[in-house]
Amino acid sequence: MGHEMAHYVMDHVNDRIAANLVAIDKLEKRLKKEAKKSDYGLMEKLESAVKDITYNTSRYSRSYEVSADSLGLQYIMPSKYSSEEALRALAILDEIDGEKYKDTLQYQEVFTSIEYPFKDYWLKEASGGLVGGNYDNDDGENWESDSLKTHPDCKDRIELIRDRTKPVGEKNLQEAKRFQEIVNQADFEIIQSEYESGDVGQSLFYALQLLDKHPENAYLRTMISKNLTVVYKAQADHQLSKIVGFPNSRQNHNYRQLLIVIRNLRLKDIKRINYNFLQKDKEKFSSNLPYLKAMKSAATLMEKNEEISEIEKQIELIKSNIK
Amino acid sequence: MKQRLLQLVSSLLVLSILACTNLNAQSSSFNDIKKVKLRNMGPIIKDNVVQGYYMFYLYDKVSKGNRMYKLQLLDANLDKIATKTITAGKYLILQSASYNNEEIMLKFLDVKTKIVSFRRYDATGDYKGQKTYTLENRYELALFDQGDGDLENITLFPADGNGFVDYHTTKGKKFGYEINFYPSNSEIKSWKKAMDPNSKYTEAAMFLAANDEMVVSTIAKRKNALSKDPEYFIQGLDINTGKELFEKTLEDNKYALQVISGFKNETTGNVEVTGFYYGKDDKTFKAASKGVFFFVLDNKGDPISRKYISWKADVSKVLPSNDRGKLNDIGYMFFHRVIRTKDGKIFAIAEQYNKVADGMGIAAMALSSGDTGSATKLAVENFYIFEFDKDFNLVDVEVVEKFKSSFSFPNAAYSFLSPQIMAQVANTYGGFDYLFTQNYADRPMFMVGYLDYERRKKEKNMIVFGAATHDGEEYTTDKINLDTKKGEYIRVMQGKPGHILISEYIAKEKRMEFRLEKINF
Repeated sequence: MGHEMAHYVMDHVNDRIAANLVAIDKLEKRLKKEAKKSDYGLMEKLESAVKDITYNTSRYSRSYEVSADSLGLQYIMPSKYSSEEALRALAILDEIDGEKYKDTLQYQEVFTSIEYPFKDYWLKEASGGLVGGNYDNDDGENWESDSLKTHPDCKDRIELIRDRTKPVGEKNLQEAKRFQEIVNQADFEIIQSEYESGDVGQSLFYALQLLDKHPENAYLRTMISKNLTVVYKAQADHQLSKIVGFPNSRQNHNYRQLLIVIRNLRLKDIKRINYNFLQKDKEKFSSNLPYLKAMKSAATLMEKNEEISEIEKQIELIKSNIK
Repeated sequence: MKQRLLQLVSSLLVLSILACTNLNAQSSSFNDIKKVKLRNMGPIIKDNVVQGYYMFYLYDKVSKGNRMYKLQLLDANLDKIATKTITAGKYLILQSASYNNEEIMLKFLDVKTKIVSFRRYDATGDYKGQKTYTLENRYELALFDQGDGDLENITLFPADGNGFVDYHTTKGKKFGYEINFYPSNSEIKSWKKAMDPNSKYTEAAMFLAANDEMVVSTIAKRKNALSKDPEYFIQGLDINTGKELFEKTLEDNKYALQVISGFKNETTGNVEVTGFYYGKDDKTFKAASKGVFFFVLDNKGDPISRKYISWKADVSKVLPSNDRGKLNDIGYMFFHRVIRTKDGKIFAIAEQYNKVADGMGIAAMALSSGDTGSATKLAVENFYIFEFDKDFNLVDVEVVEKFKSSFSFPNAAYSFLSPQIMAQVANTYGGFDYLFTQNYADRPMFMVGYLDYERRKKEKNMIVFGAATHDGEEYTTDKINLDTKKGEYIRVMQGKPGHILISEYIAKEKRMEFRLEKINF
């Protein structure tokens, strides 16, 4: 928090915008001058100039981060918190891109039902062919990846402030139970966040990941169904690639495997998996409004009109009871 | 209709669009950082299956006659393999790309110097070398196939791990052919096989199959370029040396033959040839065929078995037909492709057509004193997909319904042609609605892609992309609306099995987006 406050106090956002505008203006003038001299090699010169600006901007950005770490640490010093926690926060940031839950997800168990058993080939990706993802195999277009970083390495940031931290104060001022609740809540909120932002593949993945830990949770089951319904509609409209990624070698195993499954499903598979997935716990969650709404959507895709009417009645009943 | 769409696409491809800045696995987009011109884009293919894509764009001026090009190689998921820089003349175009499980080969043509170059890259995009030949004269340049980025018109073929085979037309005393082999193994020399310069025939070669021992081709020989009764030969060349192993006439006591396709049977190793058969004295180029034939050839080019499917005796059991190849109440059939699926079945994809009066053409003739317009046109309608079992017995015919479209001819001379020749001409100019056939390597499925101009009651008519898929058991169709706002366009290209590549130009954002989508079946 101290770090973010420091950015605000030092007006880094506006500084950066101003620096970018100046750089773009310089670039334009430089290119106009070059273009007057010769028609040849302009793209090469443009590319070189864009690289210069980008590296400069990133260098500024890295220096802002170092300043904000330093001032942020000053802010935390007089508080009840231990300043050493700043080091731990940076260490967590260093591993933020890794998988939080590493157990292998068993999609064949989640998506199977007696009525519509899981098919093993859904897990298989077509073999052979060309494989992409070699982002460094570019003639003349290689960027220095270190110079592109907007943040210094967390390990370096830790070393820059380590000497100024003291093992005095509290690690945590909140009640441990409450703190853990907030941590857990964040796990759930990311599902909704990805769903709302349109990355349905990620939302479905996070929901399935948490279902592995909380198999009886109605919200997770509802979100899995809602995501499957969106996947169905997008696939029917040939828009699936806008909301679900393709599998590639850079993704973690569980996520990549989910994308392979989605890519292997036909429309009829998606709607049947969705419908039967909710049917398994329909008695258990018969008074859960969001669950019932998801059931109605799934039944609509299956064109089960009688069942839709029944669900609608149930929904009305619950709503009247709430009133 | 396809003509109109392709014209639109080609005009858009020369728009200034922009350097690729965002590449994630499901889509690529070009946006406003650097202006470049996309010169060519197409699939990288092996055995009719898309393995990836190339994008070739003009990047920079280097000197008066030289340009810097960027070549981007993508895998079948649109994930980037590599970006390569090529400095060459300003008239360079990339024609087609092929993959043989080890290497990618790209075929370029410098239109000004008439140099054809074949650049090899390994599967990670590293450059491995190039071979070139020069087209001898303007006839060869004119005949040089410029459309074979299109899957249906390929002249560059992979010979598995052995290398690549390229076919092109030559013009000496007569029109002829040249087959060039470019090995992947640097210890093997490349070779070429050309028509005998003293041949009294005009000859054309077509790739049939390749294995570890030989390259097998069909050679069509005519007395002259306008002759309409070619004789067909099967030619086998040693894959390591190019030495001719055999060249045998493909003849029959009772019938005249016209070869349209061939496959290597992966189980037996034999080559199977298919085409139409005609009456012995018929002119195969303009007569109505009597039916379809299938020959199985051994590794010396000799037939092991012959099978004939007659329109009258066999097809009429499932469809009404008469003995002139015209199906009663249906019209004529133009066969686009014959494919073999993973389970050994064979499917022949045909489009129905008829020669009809052209009201607009007649009016144009009247207004121009006969200089422009033709009194007749081709009316193009449904697809007919003929299914044969592995022993070449006709099993079924599926009709894929679509709206009627038409192809008009530029002048009155075309009115005097037979319907079959009119269909050949219409096919050359993109007059049919058929686009491509997508075969699956790992399951008994295929998909036929086409355009359809839907006339809707009380609604705006629409151009749609249609996909008819056979999943091994039944047919399903799927449609994608291609209608766009003014200044925008959507183009559909073949994707990896089960997918299509949609390229969409969004005028408001001056952005071109490519995305892979699943076909529903």
